[in-house]
Amino acid sequence: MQWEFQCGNPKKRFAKKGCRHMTKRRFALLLALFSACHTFLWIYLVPPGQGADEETHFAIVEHLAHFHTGPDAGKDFWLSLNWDSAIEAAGYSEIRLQTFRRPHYVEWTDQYPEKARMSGPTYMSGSSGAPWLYHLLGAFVYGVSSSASVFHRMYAVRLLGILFAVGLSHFSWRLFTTLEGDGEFSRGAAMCVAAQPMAHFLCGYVTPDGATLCLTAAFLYACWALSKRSAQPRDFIGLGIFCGAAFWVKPLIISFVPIALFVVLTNKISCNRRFGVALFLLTVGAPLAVWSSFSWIRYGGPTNLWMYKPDPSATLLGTTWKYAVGLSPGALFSQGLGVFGWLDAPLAKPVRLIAAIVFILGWSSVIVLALRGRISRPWLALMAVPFVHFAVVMAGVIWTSKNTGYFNWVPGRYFLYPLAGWMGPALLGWHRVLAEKIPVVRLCAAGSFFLAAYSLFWIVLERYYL
Amino acid sequence: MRIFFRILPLFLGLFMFYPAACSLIGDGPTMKNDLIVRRGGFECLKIIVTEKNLPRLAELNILIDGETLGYRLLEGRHVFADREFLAYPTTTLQGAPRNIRISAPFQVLSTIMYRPPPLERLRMLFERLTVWRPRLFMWIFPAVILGWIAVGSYLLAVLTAPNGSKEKKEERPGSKGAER
Repeated sequence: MQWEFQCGNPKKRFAKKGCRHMTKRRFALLLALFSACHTFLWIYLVPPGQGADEETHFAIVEHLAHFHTGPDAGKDFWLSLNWDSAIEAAGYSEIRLQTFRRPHYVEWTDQYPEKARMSGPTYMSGSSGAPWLYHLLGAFVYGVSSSASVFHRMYAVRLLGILFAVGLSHFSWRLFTTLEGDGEFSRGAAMCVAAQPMAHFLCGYVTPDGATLCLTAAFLYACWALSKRSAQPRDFIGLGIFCGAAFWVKPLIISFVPIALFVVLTNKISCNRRFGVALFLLTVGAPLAVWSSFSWIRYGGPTNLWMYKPDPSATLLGTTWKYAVGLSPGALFSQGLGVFGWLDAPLAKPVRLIAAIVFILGWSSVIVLALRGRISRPWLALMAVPFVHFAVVMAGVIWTSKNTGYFNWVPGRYFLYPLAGWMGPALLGWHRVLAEKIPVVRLCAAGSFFLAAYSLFWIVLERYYL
Repeated sequence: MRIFFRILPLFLGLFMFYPAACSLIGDGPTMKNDLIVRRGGFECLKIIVTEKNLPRLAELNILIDGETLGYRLLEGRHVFADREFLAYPTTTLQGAPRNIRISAPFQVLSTIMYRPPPLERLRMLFERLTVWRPRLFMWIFPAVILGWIAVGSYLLAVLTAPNGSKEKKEERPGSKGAER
């Protein structure tokens, strides 16, 4: 390729010089530390209950910890009295979606027996019908911190997010390393991921979104690492179990299946390909079937959304059109980049505009380079991942909406899950065009660091504490 | 470029701590018309009105300790239909104000904004940032901020170190450095 002729093989060049300054192990450790500190700051600065749907997810965690079973939506999905009174004392209902209001800075101690719950179904959302793997982990942490007050327990459950954030940045780095070698680009791109504010905000409160981000990064790394060698049957079993188990964290991860199937179908393989595909589908199908059966018995459908009344006149085309009109690319981008709290603390418009320009120019460059045949196949495949994810999520949402009558408002964070797939190609575009003139990936990493600091200390601090 | 990355921690630290050190601090808006000045360092009044009341904004009257206040309005953020304004006094205040009365023919959300002296500011921020949290979190919070800046800056500095600058001089036998 012309680019290689001009500046040498980038993999070799960066592998040599990147490692000269810092060993892999040291970089991995420092990246983990950076990501952990970043998430801790989000955990600390976002007040209790101020993440989107946080009180719902925490109520599920509490229910699992107290009664050793998940809540039955609409029947016994009650907030605990301690949790309800604590968040109300902190001003939860007054500040939620009220940008100019401030919390009540009052200390709170539990006043009710641990298992006392409100006297009726108090809060309902789609989350209560979703699988509980993340909440089970949370319930374990909740149980360990049993002597603490409900606020302290919530902060303890939030700490799980540090693991997910560290996993997210580590697997993203490993993914970039398989694509571009270990060097300035992969390390700089990993640092951009580790400084992405919205992803770390999601890791920093009680929600399965942080775990989903981490699992998606691990899944992408596994697929791209697998595509470098001849696959064994056990690889397909592993991939299938991983996809199925991830579904138990967040059903939107169903978008993994077509991506994994593509890897199974195109990879070098040491056994019969049909056998490999069957093995994968069987292992991915088993956990899905278990949840679906359970859900059908409990809710009468794949989720508790079956409790809504579908509109018999709704058509697939009509529902698709409704979503197509309702989705605004600008809003989706803003929500993916940084709208914090209960979606009531956005980044300033000029900041969002600059980020959008950087992102769009990076993607435009990489698309032009791809059209000119200067982008390798693994990178092209990674570029396709966010769009496959988007298409599968939208198809799932539209199908559910058509069959249940529930209009699922789709926030931008649902599309952020393949974070490496969004950021990697954009950075590659900049890197391939400008790397010889300016250290563009380093500048992007520095920019991400500033964006994270701005989000935490200018937006969140101002929103809740000044 | 190298200098930029060397001074980055300092620059980042200043950038991060600027709002905490210099921004105005309020107690959260209220619908009440009578506000009591609770702290030292009164700076201005933050007023939030809905868009439909904007044409009548001139009818807003502010009294400080019973005397009409001259003020100029600076527009702040607008979120949905709400507009934020900061009313800075233009008349000289006689000593520290004690209470403020807002009279308007429409509903106003308002809060007093302070620029407290450093120790008072520190105490307020400490109270607000330590409520709700486990004690361990409070202790490690400052260390985590400093650690985050330090690790991030170090990572960037190493990423940004000129690729093998020292080695370049050694590796190139034809270069001036090697000949010397």
